[in-house]
Amino acid sequence: MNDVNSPPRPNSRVSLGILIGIAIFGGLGVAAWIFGVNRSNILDDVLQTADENPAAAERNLRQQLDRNPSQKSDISLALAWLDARRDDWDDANLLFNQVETSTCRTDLLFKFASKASRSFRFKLANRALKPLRDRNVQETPEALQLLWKNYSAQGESEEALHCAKELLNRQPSNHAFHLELIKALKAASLDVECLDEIQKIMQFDLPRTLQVEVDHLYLDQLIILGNLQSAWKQVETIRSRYGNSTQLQTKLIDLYRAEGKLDQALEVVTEIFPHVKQIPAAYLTRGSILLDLGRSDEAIVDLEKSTELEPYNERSQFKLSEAYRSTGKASLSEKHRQLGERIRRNRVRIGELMKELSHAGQRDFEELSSLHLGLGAAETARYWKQRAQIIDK
Amino acid sequence: MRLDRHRCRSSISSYVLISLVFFIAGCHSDSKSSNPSSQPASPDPLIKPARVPVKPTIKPAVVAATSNDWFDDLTSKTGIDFTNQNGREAGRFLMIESFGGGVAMVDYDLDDVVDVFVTGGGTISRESPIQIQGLPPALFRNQGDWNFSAVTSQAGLALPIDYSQGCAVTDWNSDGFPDVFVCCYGRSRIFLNSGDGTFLPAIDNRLLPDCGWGTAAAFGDWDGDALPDLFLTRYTNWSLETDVPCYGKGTNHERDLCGPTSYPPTTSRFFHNSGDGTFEDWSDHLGMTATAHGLGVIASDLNLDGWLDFYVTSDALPNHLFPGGTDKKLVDNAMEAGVAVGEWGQAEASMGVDVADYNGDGLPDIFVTNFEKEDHALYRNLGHGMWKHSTIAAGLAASSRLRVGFGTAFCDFDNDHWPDLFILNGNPIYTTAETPYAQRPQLFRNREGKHFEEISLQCGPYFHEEHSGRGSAVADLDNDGDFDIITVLMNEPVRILRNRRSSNHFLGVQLHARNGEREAVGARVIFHASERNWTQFVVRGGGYFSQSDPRIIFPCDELPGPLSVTVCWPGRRQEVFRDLKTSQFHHLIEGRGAYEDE
Repeated sequence: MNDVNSPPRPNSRVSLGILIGIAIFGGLGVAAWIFGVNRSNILDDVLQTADENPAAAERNLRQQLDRNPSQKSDISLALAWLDARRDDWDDANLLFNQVETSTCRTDLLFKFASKASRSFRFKLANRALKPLRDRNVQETPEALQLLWKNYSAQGESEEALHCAKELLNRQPSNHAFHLELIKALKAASLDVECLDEIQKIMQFDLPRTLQVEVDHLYLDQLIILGNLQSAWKQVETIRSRYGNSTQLQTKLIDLYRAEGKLDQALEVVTEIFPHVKQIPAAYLTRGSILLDLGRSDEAIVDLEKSTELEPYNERSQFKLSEAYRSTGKASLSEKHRQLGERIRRNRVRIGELMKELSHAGQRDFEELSSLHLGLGAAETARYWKQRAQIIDK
Repeated sequence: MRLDRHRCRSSISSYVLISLVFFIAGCHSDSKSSNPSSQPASPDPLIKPARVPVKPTIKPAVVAATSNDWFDDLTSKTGIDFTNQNGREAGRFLMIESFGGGVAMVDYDLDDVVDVFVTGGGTISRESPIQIQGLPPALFRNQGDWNFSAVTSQAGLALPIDYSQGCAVTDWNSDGFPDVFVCCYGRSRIFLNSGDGTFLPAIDNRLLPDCGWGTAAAFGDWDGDALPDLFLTRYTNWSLETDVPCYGKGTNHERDLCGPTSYPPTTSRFFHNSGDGTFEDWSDHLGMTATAHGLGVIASDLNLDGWLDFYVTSDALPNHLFPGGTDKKLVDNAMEAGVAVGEWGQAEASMGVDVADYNGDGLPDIFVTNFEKEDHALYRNLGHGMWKHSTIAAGLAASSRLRVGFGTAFCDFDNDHWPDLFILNGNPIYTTAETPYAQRPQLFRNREGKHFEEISLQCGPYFHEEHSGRGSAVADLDNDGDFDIITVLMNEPVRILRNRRSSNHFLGVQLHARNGEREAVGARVIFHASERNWTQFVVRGGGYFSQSDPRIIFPCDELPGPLSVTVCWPGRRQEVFRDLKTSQFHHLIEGRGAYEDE
């Protein structure tokens, strides 16, 4: 029992301190909230006019910047966004540097990041997106998606995978995210992990179209990893669920080839050929099987067609070279081997540049453009040419 | 608007939170300040301890031995107890840790039973500055009936040498006694067999010029002067000064060993035997400019033109073929010959290699082991110096995609004449690769030269165990007419597997050339069976970092009487040896048979 005359104990003083602290700072918070609402409304009003009259919006914002120095961060962000909209990235960068990204407005930050991403300013965009990732707000999943996309575009596949996994952790039943993660793992050649993820998504009750896709992806991975016994079981599952499709037949060809059953593989490819003959890969597959069966002259016909339809496919060029080599046509063999080698070297170089994309400069982007042009990918070459014009800070 | 409300709420929450944080921080102002000097210093990545146990978890065999097993593990009976070490326990993650050691099957005392020589590897210090030290090799003398005695010290081999990896056997000084060559990080060297059961190490620059880190070696007479020359593969010019830290890919960022792309490739070296016991580096003179991450080498007459060829496996770069010939150049033509790359023209991470005629057409085919998610490469010989990638046609695709193959033997284990395939697996990457560090070995049975069928699980308990395997060789250790297997594992004892599928009758031969290099590397032996001929080749190197039994064995259950073989001496007339008794080994000496025209 406490003695009423005894002096207050130290813990009572601490409690009192806490109460006073809460009262003072809480009061300040409420005041700031009230003040903030007003300022927020002002900012919103200005921003609403941005589409119609961006110049007026900017003027208003700059006035607000002088009147409300306490709201400098949000106003700077809004101004940076306006600059970004008209592709004035130097100013946008300068203004963004003044933004307190840990406390600024979520919606504006996301808008700015989206615009920067669309304009290939991935580093700037990611500076805006990373705080959103940490805030756990409504925009966080979208921010993560955008980060994932940006990291992928920057060739930072490890960071991209981190985002994908984080996104899936937040929304484990989002099958679209799950599928994207599976595809990202596949693209990163993380085949074992990819198979694990496929097995995880298979536990869900999936919509039919997705189920079909996942079932085939699973079969693909089993073949890639050489688990042929399970692959055959999966063939039966797919067949019983959806019947015999051309897609399934193409997998059968892969399976028969993996087992060395070339006659069966040829039988299946012959059966489905009328349905797939517009696809270059069909000629490459049939040509390769014929070559393995020692039917080199027939293989050459198919592989010539394959290289005609897809001249920048190094696999087709190599197989055609092999077919000519086996018939003693050394110069033709050498010609296609060198063509294939050149394509392969280009792809290897592209891979090297992509790995270092986050540190890439103008010259690297131009090289990427030229390499893609050399592979007949004019659109991709244009993309990199465009990126070469951008200084991403 | 919903967004704004959310923003405002988060504003108030953050104000309150911030104020509380400041207040509470103030209440604890007497707590320890974060003094940077009191924090541990940023660790040197090179001295970061390994996060994984030094030894991988070895899963015990889950099956008991049965009478039908192809092999039984006789290691404990043999008295062979030796472990090649790579220095992993230091947690340094150095490049040289990846590759492991090798084994040479050598009858060093000429008593007609094969003895076992194993490289020691080395240690790496935990303390800085890093010290890499070699461990002595081990020699086990075969006393018969699966008894071996450790004779390393008596043989003068218990010496501290450099960090060792591959090994090879040759008669370096042509004195009739086989010498042993050891590839080292530091200084590769020869151990000269004195003929009295002892060896003398020779590292004199006059005997063999220093050429840095060598991984694997093979000997044979390349220029037709009857003396064995040395072909040495190298991986890169790595040193402690050029070491870079590497981390796992994907989301596994642990420190691990580096892959091949971290360091530039380098050239192999060719040393010409001057005939006075010294070797000269002729590499530049012969135009050897092709670079590789060389890990395996095999020497034989692969295109059957009478000249010795060298085939080099390369990690993540195209393999090399250096055909011999009258032009006296060593220029890679693997691409033109069809033995450089994989199924689709891609370079693969190649390690082990062996040569045999798998389809009975009398031509040497080449088998190469590769990394995970790659198929091993079987190159079928089409004749005229051309090969065709035939992994798919032989049914070998997909079977090893979750394995990393190192040691291999292209060898008839079940005495049906058709060479089967043994593959010793294990990942060079400790923890961050897609497949585990320790893996099961595999055995593929050759089905009459048409396709291969995996029968690993019928081969005995050892084939159910997981280890990180590297070097391997085959030898008939008990002279019963079949090949047994010796495996070198990472930081685990060497294992001896006895072949239990002996034939009732066999014909064993060892060639001794008189008009050419003594061991007749590059020769081929043709056995005339009732319905067809069978061809085997004299090769050196191969497996992985290893040298197999130099003898050739033909099973001959269907022909128990005295038999004959034809020997095609490299670049010389062929000779028939008749009336050879079965179930014994014969020394076939050039000139003692009957010459016949091709």
